[in-house]
Amino acid sequence: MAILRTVNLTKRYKDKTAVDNVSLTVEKGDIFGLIGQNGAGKSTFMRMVTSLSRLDSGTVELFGEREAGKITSARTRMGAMIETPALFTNLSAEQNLEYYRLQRGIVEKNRIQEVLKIVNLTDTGKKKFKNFSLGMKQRLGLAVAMLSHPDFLIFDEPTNGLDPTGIVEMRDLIKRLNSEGITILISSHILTELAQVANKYAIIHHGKLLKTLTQSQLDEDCKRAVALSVDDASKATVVLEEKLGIKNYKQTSANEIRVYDMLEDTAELSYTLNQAGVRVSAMAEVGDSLEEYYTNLIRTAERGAL
Amino acid sequence: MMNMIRADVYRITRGWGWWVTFLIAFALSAGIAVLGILDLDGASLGGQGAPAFIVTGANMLESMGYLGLVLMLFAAPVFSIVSSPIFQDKTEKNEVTWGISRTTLYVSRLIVSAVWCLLIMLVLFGTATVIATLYGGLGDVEAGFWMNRLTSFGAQWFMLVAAAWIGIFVTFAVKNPFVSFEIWGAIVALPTAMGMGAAMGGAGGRVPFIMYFDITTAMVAFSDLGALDTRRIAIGLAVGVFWAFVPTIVGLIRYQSKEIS
Repeated sequence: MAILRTVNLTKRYKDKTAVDNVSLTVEKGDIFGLIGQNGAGKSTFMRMVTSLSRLDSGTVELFGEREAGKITSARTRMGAMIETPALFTNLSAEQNLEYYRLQRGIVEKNRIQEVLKIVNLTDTGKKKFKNFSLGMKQRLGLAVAMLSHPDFLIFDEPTNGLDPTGIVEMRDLIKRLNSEGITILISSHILTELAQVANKYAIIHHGKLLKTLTQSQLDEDCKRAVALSVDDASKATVVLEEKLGIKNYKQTSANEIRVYDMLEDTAELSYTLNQAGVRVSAMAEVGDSLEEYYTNLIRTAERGAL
Repeated sequence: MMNMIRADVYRITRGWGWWVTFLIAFALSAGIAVLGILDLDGASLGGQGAPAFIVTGANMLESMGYLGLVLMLFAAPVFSIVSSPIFQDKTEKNEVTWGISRTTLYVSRLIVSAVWCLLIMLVLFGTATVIATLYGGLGDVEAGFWMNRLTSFGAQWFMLVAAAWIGIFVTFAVKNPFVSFEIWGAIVALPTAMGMGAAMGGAGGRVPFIMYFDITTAMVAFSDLGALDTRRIAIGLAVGVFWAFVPTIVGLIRYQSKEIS
């Protein structure tokens, strides 16, 4: 089931096209990562989805709703933190949450303590939002987004300004929320960070959607392999084909070979080669990282090949 | 809409601005009542040579109506506290992303400000009236007195609401509390000051006539609705309707397409 579907979404600012005909679908249960450099159009895309920015053209469908009135009420099933968390600076964490509890008509008063516990902010007392650290502000922003039991969460660069511990906590929180059935759309320019949580990706560059892919497609595209350093690569290839039935390999030098299969059973690979008299001196998993993959994709796009 | 109003009332009453505004209204009203009681020859409230001011609740209530100019100033904290934090703290994006329509977001602030204006007037007029009643009793009143007071009170409230709504319009338009305060001051206070200055300087002709169309002047004139002719009342109310609804309609239309940062 599609939670979010955009078709040819476009936003122009004077002579610049910030988002250019972006069509993508976020399915239920996804952690959908939006990757792009700063200024690529990620935030503008999210702003259009959340109606902070008006669309110049295209459509947004949320929970299957597309009409103006229905999509507005569909948004009540959504939580979002776009750019920086924005809350009343002169109110405490609890007061800010109480404000949004009243505004959203949430009956359960204990929901405030629940979300404060989730984001680990139960001990802030009367401390006002303006005196919070950036990490605390981010977490309270998340608490507000989660307050109304959303089915879909949108986080724009949620790890911005967080320390390493905060980043790990945020990552764990996102995974936990997703395991509870919440679909998440998350943007980041820190690709390695995103790679640890997302299961689908969309790569945006200069407002254009370059590619959408699943984790398995990405793994495939990144060509993960086992690099073997052996005493005789030619002999090793014969063993691979005849003893293990592997044809998906590449001999890169007289002593090195890359095997694209059996990534999960490297012990068997090593054992079989050794048994056949091929000495394996080193073995390592190699391949394009998400960053390398992304950089290559951007370079290709800029050369106009995509 | 009701949830929005409840949430806003919760937020506003958590800040000191709400309480200070009421404290000022209360202190001002109590001060006027005490001054009236202490200065029984009428020099303060009735003016030199005027008949002695007999302090009763009814007299005090009637006199408080003439505080239109002061009353108008209360619109400033009202619109500022109701609408400025939304833009100062950029919280409007939480509301819009959660599916609250921009119309609801705007209109709920109009309602909150109108109710707050009413409460301020009740404190301002009520405190002095209660004190005077405790001192000298309610006093004798002519037939139609209460109806006249009620309609005057209602007309002044409407003008106060119009002034607050101008402020909300300006705040939603410029999204900068300080700039909006200056623009509001220019719209509400400057024409009055200029008109009064010109009138005191002896300028006749068109200047006093222009003042008929000034919101603050209309507010002061409405202190005794029964003493005004129909034309003057109609002009005053038209001024109020213009300032209350034209900026609001323009503001609502503009806000629908505004980028929210």
